[in-house]
Amino acid sequence: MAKTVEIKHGAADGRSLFMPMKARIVRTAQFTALEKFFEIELDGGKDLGHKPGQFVEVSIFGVGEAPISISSSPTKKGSFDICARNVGSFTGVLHGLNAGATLGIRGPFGNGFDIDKFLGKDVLFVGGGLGIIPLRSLINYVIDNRKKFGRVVILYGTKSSKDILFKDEIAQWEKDAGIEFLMTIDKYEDGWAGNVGVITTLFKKFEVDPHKTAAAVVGPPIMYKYVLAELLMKKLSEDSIFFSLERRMKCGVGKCGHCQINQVYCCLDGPVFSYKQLRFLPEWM
Amino acid sequence: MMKKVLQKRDLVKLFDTMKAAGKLYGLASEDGRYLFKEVNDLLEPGCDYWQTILPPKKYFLPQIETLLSYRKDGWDANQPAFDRTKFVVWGIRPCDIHAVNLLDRIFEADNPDSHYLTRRKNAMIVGFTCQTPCDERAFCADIGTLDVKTGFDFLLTDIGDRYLVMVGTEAAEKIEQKLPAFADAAPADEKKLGDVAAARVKAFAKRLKTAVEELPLLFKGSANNPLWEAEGKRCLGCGSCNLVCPTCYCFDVQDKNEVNLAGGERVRKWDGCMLKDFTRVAGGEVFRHSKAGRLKHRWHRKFDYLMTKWGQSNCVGCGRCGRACLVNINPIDIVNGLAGKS
Repeated sequence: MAKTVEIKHGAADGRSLFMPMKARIVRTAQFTALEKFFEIELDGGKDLGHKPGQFVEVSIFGVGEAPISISSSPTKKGSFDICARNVGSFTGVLHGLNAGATLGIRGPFGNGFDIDKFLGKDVLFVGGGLGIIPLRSLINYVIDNRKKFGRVVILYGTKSSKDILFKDEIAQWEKDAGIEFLMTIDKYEDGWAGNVGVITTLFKKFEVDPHKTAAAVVGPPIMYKYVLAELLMKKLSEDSIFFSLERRMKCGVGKCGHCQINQVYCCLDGPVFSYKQLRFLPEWM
Repeated sequence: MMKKVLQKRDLVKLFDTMKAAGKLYGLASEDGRYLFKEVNDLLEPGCDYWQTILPPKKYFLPQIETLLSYRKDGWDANQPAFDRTKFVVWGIRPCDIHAVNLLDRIFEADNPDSHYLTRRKNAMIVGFTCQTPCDERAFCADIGTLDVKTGFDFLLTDIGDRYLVMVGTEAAEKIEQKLPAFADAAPADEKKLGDVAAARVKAFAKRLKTAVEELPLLFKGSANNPLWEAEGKRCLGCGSCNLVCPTCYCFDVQDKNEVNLAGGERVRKWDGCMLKDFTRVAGGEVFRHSKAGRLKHRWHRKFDYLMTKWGQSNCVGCGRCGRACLVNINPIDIVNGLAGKS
């Protein structure tokens, strides 16, 4: 089932799969108390050449390496974006870095979203919490190629209004007449006029044409079961529902074993899987 | 493949020639157990020893190896590290040669891993055919790893007064040509080889109640078998089985700083899927929580996932995991338990 991934470095004799490319942080933004955004440029302005939904291994020598989703669309050239929550030793050090700092990058890795499965269709995005970060790579791709896609519905849920990422971009999505953007927060807060409740509460607010809709879902594992039920109730077919899965993709090249889900490697065969595929991977949820 | 014969008294000549070809790792017995270590003298010929504690995997995929070195003050000083030391592993059993062959395919496929492949290219393997089983834990005869056709430079079989030697590589042919002790194998020698193989059949009793080619189906259908929960309850989650397995190759990558923090090395270390932290991601989520789930995963890798992918069992039947397990969880009982026959 594993497919050969084209590696832009390493592989050949005398070169290492594990040697990162030199890159530089060109811009950062502290989105929330825990989440920081990084715009990264490869040495010499080389293009990363990624697909929406892929990930990179980010290296800080002396600290280590971690798999992080690419947040920008490939339609944006010259640099790419990542956004990380400060939750561990690696992201703790990453958060201390600012514009001008050097990083190592390996990748892009993984399959990414299969654009062909979305072309010409209505696209439903479901992002929970940090899930909006990888989802944004596909959202912006769709916006930049707007005519090639039908109706666009974006659902985004966070714990509280403080946790909302990409606020400036969201303001634009909301203004865009071609995008239906629905936001929710888990618990009521003073001054919040929008929807309150988990993300599934948004599913009552819109209808879809199941024959021409493809859904891209990224969020915490707990969300998937409930969102899947909603999507199936809206009669979406199993091969038009796509989930991006989080696993410990330590090497990114299908060797280290950490990201295995039953018979597949998340880093080679995923991280994006259709529900049709996931039905044969009981370990996915 | 070229077949030669070597008088038993001349084995030391081959040993000394191989020693000249590179660092030689051979067999040593310590405290009643065998292990591979660097040796200078031929003390243990290489046949009929109890299986070593650790497999020879440690020379191809070391417990810790440097992948690259880095300097904090200069990106261009960061260099990949490749171990080009020439070495010989003497005395490998066929099951372990099968295991090395499996690792070769895995590290070559998808994305070739030049750290492993460089080391492998500089290695020579001298194997010995088994005449008697190590113990009741071994089930090589069931898996089909009692004999081996590729993956060695020399493979020696005791045919009585001498060894019949299979010469498996061009590098080995060159060595053979320079060593006058080798003589061409006569038809009588080849007949003896067949006799030896036939004679040991009884000794290598079959232990699995399922044919090897049916193992993937057996495991695919085992998802809800209560055996996993039962074995999971006994399992200590210590990862010893991963550690001693000749085909377990999962690894972690870590940075090791020099004490002055000016630079360091990025290293690859063995890791084990039986350890709880194996699937832990940032934020603390663990994707394979229960020991039952981890056991199920490990054995599905050997007999279903990787077996289906490569068309070959990824367990070579060496029996090391069963010997190492403190609570006696072993593949023979797992397979027979799932098959409902024990």
